[in-house]
Amino acid sequence: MSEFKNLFQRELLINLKNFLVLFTFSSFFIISIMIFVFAFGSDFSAIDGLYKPIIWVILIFSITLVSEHFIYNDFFDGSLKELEFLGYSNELIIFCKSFVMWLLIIFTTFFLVPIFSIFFNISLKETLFLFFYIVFATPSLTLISVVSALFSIQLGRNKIIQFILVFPFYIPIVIFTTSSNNIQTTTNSHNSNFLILIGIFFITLPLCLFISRLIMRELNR
Amino acid sequence: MKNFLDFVNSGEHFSYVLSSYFIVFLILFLIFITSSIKTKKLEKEFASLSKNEAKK
Amino acid sequence: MIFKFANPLKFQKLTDSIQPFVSYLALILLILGLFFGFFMSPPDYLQGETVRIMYVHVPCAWFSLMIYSVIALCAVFAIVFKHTLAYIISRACAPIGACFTIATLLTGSIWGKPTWGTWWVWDARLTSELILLFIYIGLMIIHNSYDDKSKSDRYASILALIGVVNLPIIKWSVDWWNTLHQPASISKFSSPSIDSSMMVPLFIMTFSIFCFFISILLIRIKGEIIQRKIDVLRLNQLK
Repeated sequence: MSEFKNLFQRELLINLKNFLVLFTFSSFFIISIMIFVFAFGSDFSAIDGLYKPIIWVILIFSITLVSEHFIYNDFFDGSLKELEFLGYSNELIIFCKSFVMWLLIIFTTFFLVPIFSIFFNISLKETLFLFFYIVFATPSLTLISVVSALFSIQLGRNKIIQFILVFPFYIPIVIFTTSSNNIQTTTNSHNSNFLILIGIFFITLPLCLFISRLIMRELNR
Repeated sequence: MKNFLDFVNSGEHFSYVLSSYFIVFLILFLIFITSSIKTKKLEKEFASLSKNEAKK
Repeated sequence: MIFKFANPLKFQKLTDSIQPFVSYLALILLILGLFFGFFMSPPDYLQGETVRIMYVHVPCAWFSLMIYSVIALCAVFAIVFKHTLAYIISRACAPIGACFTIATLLTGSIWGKPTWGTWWVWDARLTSELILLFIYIGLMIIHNSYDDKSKSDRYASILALIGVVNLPIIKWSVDWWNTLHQPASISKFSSPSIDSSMMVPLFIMTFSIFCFFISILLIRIKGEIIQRKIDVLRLNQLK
């Protein structure tokens, strides 16, 4: 437990001090919203109900974009190896990184979703549901994006390849989150899709940790 | 034979079935041919390389 | 026995003798399958003549899944035993699997038009099959992205393991969700809901395509082994 606490503190402090992570995420988010708003024009009736796919597209791209900050810096300055040398397990390192990344994303989206809802004329109830689903879907997305960042370390930061590799694994999460969100906003009740979403997280968590361990072993060769 | 004649005279269905068979066989043929050509090329390259190696 | 033939050179000798035989067998079975499929099997009472698409669509779909299972099995074998042949088979299988998946999607789409009235629906079975295609593409990209071949092989094995999650989803998607796609007609645990006049051509075509797959796989494996020999020779020349 103390190992987790130490690592968690380290990751949190580094990423809070490194303003670039929050800045990259929020600026990408806001710019994308702006582009969508300008592309749709002033006719908001045309985009009624379209905000959900839009926010998921923006979220997925921004999470993939920031994931490299959590991995690349530590890999290239040797901290990743140092942490392993100090006895921290690969799984714990990746878990802490993903957890901190998720916290930062949630913290940022907490402020960004209201801006998004203003731009897209979304009601308060729908905004709350949207945030609720972002909270529950992003853990899987962050885990997958961290694994993809690990994958692409030796690909020369090739973002497109990184995206192609993880894209198939984002699809189920997006499908179940948006469908669950749709049902929730129309019927006001939880549904099986939400449980599937939670189930996906419990499959993703051990799988991503196991895979990241394998990749880190490869990186150390 | 009756089955086949019925199938040939089935109009639109005939074209759907025929096009799907054509696509499958085309894909299989293409992967077979490209794999064969690539392997033949590699065999030639290997033969010439090992000849050079033997000369040394 | 397995480890005896797991030596790439011994395996190549074995495959050289098998490959022509398998190719001819595939051709003979194909002719037989087409004969049974077009001349002996009747039209379906509901779908009419379009049911004949099943004789190519279903085997392609089975093999798109089976080939991925082979890749995943090779990935486990490669990660645990670090055997070169497992990497070679995995590398040789990926493009073939992608081709079968494309064939499945295209023939399914053509079959969907007269039966469902649309070329494509975002149905669980179709979407998961499309995801499988993306995973195959990802594998092929990884195989060709790294300068170091052994590294790309190891990374591809890891990706192949992640993709295994998709296999049960494809298989049972028709049972788990309400889909337009029909459930499995041939199951291991129940009697088939398909008439023998349709099952015979289906199985002949399946064996034919299986032989075809083996034939292409053997050719690609041979190519991979030679490619590795060339790499070693080139490295020796540089030294």
